Amino acid sequence: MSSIKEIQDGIVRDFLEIGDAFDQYAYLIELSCLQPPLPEELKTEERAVKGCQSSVWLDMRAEDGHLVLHSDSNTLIIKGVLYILEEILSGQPLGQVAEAEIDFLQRTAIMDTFESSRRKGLGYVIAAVRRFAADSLAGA
Amino acid sequence: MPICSAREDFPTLKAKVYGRDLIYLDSAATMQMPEQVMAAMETQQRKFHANVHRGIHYLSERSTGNMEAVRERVRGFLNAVSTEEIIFTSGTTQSLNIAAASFGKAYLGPGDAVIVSAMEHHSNFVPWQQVCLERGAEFRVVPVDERGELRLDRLAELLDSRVKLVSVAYVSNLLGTVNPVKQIIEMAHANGSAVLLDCAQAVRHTKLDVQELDCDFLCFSGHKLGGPTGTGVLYGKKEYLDRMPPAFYGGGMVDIVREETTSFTESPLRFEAGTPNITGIVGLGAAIDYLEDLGIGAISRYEDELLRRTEEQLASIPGVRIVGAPARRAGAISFNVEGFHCFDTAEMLDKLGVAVRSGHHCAQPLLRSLGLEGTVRVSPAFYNTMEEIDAFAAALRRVADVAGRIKK
Repeated sequence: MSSIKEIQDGIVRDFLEIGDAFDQYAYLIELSCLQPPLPEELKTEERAVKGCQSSVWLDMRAEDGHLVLHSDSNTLIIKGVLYILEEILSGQPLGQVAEAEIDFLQRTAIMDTFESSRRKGLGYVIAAVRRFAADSLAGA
Repeated sequence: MPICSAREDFPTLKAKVYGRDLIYLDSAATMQMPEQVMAAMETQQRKFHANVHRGIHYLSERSTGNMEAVRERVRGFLNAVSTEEIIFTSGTTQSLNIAAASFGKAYLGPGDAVIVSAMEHHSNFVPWQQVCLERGAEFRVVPVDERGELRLDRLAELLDSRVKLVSVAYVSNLLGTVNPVKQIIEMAHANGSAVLLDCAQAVRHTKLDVQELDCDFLCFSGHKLGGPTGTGVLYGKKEYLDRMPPAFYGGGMVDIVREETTSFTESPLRFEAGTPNITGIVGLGAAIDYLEDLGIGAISRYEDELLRRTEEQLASIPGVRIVGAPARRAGAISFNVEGFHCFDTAEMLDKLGVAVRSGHHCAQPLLRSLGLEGTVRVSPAFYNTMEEIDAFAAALRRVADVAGRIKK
């Protein structure tokens, strides 16, 4: 499996080739359709990320020292971002997830075009995944 | 001044966003500020900056004079009987909170009731709900039908001898519905109930004459008519204000303060504890001057045309659903794009340079009654052009195309 950095670099390349902010958003929305929705029974309060303007749910498991991540959102743009996050982090060793520098949003300028509450919310999502990985490692 | 040349007075409208010309269609949230208002505020700040009412010196006198001149200006704007009926506030929200707290103390007790409608902004819903809870009064809500109109038949049923006040919006901030306020006021008064009109959205579109309307209270915000944020007005009939205790306490609103008790001065200062937003109030006055120079009637006619064009364009785009169908709209129209959350739509429009608002618009009870989670709201103002409405529609077509593609 490719490393977190390799996958991220590939995604950033794809985005930079797309063009302006509108087309990047349209691409994010198209990506959101590739992601199977989280079953309704998994959209619980415990799986919800607090502080997000949109509703975001993270279903995370540790399997053989690796992260298994499934996610969902009620807005397609955020769902597209979550799809990329899954591509980058799901299946990676927990130690690498806990330390991962997730910067594709900044490098593609998607982050710049999100309003401040969205930026903060996505920060919470990334922090929640890294914290889960670190806690799983500590508990293992 | 002709309305077509007014656009030049608004420097913000020349902004570029993401390399595109800004199309500002969020005036129901905040109207842009004309140069004339900025200039008036700058003059106040540069030449007359001093506290009001409490200083026997030149600057304070001038500052007081400037602020009180605006009070008289607002009195004329609303055709109130006296300046004692004009209270300066920080905006509609504070106006409504003062009205609810003070009216509640004077008039509400166990067994009494207050009526609001399901289409109210939270600012005209929660303060009344809370004051009713505090005072053991009943909080009643008039429902809205599927077109987004108030159910007057239900209002008639809810009005009984226990109802002390009816508080409704003149214009809905979410749907743009223009409510039949004259009829509502007549119904309430026939029942012996007072009426408050939330005119936050109506103030730019409609000539407000409190004597002709015969409303008992009315409020609006400065920033909805081109003035600065942090300014607003609460109008109240003197006969009510005279019986209402203050909602806030502090400097400038007392008569005699003793250790045991305090007596309070007359309205309006009784309701204006602390140093007011003097520069802002001067800006509010300049904004009223600006709008009256243009003519509220001319503004209203042109904005109605803009809204009609917006509605026609929205109706012509596949996948776009207009929310509500009231007999008369003013200022705003809400819609959703099939398959998209309202945030997705607004976010994509933003990337094409179009500023609209999305979400619940502080009107959760109304959205719930319409079975929606949120909407995208378009709210043009007189400084917008028909070309901008068409450009917005072209941008929305691109967004709806993306939504259509993913549906397949």
